[in-house]
Amino acid sequence: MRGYAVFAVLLGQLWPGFAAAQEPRFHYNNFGAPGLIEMPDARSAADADLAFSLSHFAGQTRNTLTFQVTPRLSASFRYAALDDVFSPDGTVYDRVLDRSFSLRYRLSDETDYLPSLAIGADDFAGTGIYSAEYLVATKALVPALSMTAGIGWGRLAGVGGFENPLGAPFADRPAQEIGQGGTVRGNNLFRGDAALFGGLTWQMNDDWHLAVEYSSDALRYQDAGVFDRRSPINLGVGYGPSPNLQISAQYLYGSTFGAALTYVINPADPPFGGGFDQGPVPVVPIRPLSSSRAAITRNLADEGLLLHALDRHPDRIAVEVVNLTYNAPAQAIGRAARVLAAHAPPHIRRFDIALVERGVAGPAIRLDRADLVAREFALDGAAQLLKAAQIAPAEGRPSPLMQSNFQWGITPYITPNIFDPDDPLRADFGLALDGSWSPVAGVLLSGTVRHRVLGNLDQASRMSVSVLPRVRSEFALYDREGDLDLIDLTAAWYAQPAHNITTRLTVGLLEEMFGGASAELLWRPENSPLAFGIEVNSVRQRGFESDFSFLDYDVTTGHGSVYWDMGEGYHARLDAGRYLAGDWGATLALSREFRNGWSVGAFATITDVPFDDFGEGSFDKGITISMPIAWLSGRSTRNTVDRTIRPVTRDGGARLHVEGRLYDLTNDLSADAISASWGRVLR
Amino acid sequence: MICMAALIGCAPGPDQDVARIRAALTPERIAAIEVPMIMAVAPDVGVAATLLQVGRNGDVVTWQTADGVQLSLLNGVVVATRGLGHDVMSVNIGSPVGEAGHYQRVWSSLDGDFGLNFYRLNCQRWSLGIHPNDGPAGPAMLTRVIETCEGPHRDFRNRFDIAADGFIWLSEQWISPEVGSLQITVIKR
Repeated sequence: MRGYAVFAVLLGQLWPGFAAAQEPRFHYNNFGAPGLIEMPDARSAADADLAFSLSHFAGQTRNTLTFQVTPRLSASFRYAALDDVFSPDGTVYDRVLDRSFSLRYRLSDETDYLPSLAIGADDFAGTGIYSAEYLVATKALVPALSMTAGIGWGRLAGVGGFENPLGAPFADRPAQEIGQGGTVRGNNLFRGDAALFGGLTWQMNDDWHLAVEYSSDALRYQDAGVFDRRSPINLGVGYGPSPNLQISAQYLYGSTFGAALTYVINPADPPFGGGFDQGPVPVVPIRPLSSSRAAITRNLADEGLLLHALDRHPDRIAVEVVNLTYNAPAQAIGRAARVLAAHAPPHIRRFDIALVERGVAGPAIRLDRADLVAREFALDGAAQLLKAAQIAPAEGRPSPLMQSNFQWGITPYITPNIFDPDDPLRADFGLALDGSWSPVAGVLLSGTVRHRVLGNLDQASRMSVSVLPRVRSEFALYDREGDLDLIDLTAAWYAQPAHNITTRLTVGLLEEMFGGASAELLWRPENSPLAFGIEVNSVRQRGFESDFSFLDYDVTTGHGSVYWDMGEGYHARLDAGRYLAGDWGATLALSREFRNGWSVGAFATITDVPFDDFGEGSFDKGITISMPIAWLSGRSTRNTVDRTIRPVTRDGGARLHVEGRLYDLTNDLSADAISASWGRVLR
Repeated sequence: MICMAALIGCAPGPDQDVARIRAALTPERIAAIEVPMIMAVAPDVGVAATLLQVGRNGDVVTWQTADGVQLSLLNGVVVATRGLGHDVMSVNIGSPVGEAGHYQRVWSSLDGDFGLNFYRLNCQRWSLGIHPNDGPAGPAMLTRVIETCEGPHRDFRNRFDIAADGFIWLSEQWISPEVGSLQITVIKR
């Protein structure tokens, strides 16, 4: 109990800085979810907030990534390290590295008289160490003081449990073992005894808050010889010096101190607003500019655009440009239009501009020069310009310039492996040399070589024990062999037999582990939220040295795909077919994509591989995050940082990686993408 | 354009030295300049640069720094900026700066997800009378006009020092909460 006194003395020291009544706020708890200290509450983060939380006490370190998927729904992925874990079967583990998912939904909003109400489930598909469900209510009693009360099941019914109020069908909760995890335990949800929890939060001033809670968590997996749970009362003091950062110190369970840190970013709110891109070419330059193709090409290049095709007509110019720079396709259109307006002789009255990727063209955007001049500085110039523009499939594409295009670059790379049970933080760093050459429109030869500079991925010693063809689980062997790796070397041919149908044929070393041939067809009907694709690949497994050698395993794999743009940035995708290990099944992927290029998603694959044969994790699943570099730097570039985080990498449900798949390739060409980014047409 | 900026000592970026630029603007140097030029200082973000004309669309003149930051001015009043980060995308300026009174201005700026936000501001303008010109060029005495505006997340005060012919030689104009105000000085008309 002396700890409570110490905590009180610390608070007393801080007291003079505290001011009077504040508005109610939400805070992140030790599980990275909105809550008190260890317990959840019923508030939500701001829509699209992405929070990275780190908490530690009594040998438990929890790292949680929480995304506010919709204003009401949030999802978390947690990676925890627990020391001295006591399993119900009597086994004591020195250390358990545990991955778990959580979902929570705010059922109702707080009103003057009613609390907000939220329902949630933790660790419903992992080992079950943190398995819990809850229904919780939170109400501000006065603006600065909020009260939370909830009923919990599973872990949250560890102490003070009583008979489940949901009735006899929910009376028993199947016993939990720290097993292989992965199975969604639907038969556990809201079952077994229930218990009450709750607490108070006092927002003392803009920066500081105080929380006290009654925890119904018995911490039954914590070895009693190491951790002594003496009290259900937890105390916490939180400090939020900025909207992005929360830090808290806690006195927990009457016996130990803890701390937590949460950093929040919001994909819709970049640090640098509209960014630092140079100003565009004025629509009416001070001095007339040359109308030669060379001058236009040069000025487009200065704007980060590559002239792909150009036709001059008596009163208009039609161009196709490759957008090398801008995440907003409308900004590429706007900059191309300005260059044309600045260079074209006065009798040219219209510009037809289409974006093109690897020979595949989007619809032409027709802009009248007079509209550009009139709207350049109009208050709602962008909206007026969109209203005046015509977006139509290109009628007879302009003639491509007979020029080859060679590009190359050297960039640093990092390949982390964060879930190896022997060492949860392995990574390689090095330099990657990328090169691509397009000898004619639609044909691309490209390759990537990586040289490892330093790292410890080669120290992974855990060997695959997979009973399936080892199409992914021997990744450590690829990491171990050699410092110079030929990652891919391909020839690809893209074609557009109709304006809404595109095809791709890629041959060569398609990815680090497989080479062969890949053929794809995409039908993307206009004005439809749906698109359909089919892909067939005939591939052979590459040697571990990542050179030109191959192993004996080959397979024909492929999928039929349905892509659904659900609106408001939410996307769904269903791929059904045959995977690399020869297993048949389907992958469902859901994502929220922001117009600025951010994307956060999750996927799960179920195939005909039995869960036991799949091994740890039971089935393939994970989360995907894509962050545009421009969001961070404020300077336009189409480069992104893409990460797929899988709790475990196994062989079932594994899909071939092929660069340049058609749906992503054509995304920024569509009329929808151009319209959605139109706010930047005059940027 | 870059050479002209360098002649004066343009040094955009956090390390630039506003005093050095001002010291370089001797009457002899200004007399040698043959093209219109302005200087802009953003005290809140510690940036200063000289700008040259690159575009003229009707009465709106677009000025640009050596590193591509643009200010577009309608008879001396900012109607757009580009490259400052939190830019003014467009503004309607309400009424001519020479006129006192109450009026509304509407501003637009980019949000972080490629959308535009519009803000309606209630403004008023009044004259403080004749004021000595403390800039490097222009007549000795100017009329000082103050403009205040209030609106959501925006509450600011602008200052314009205007010659008898209506030309704005010096001004301090608010851009955005993050950029603050720009002090704009005409070096060569």
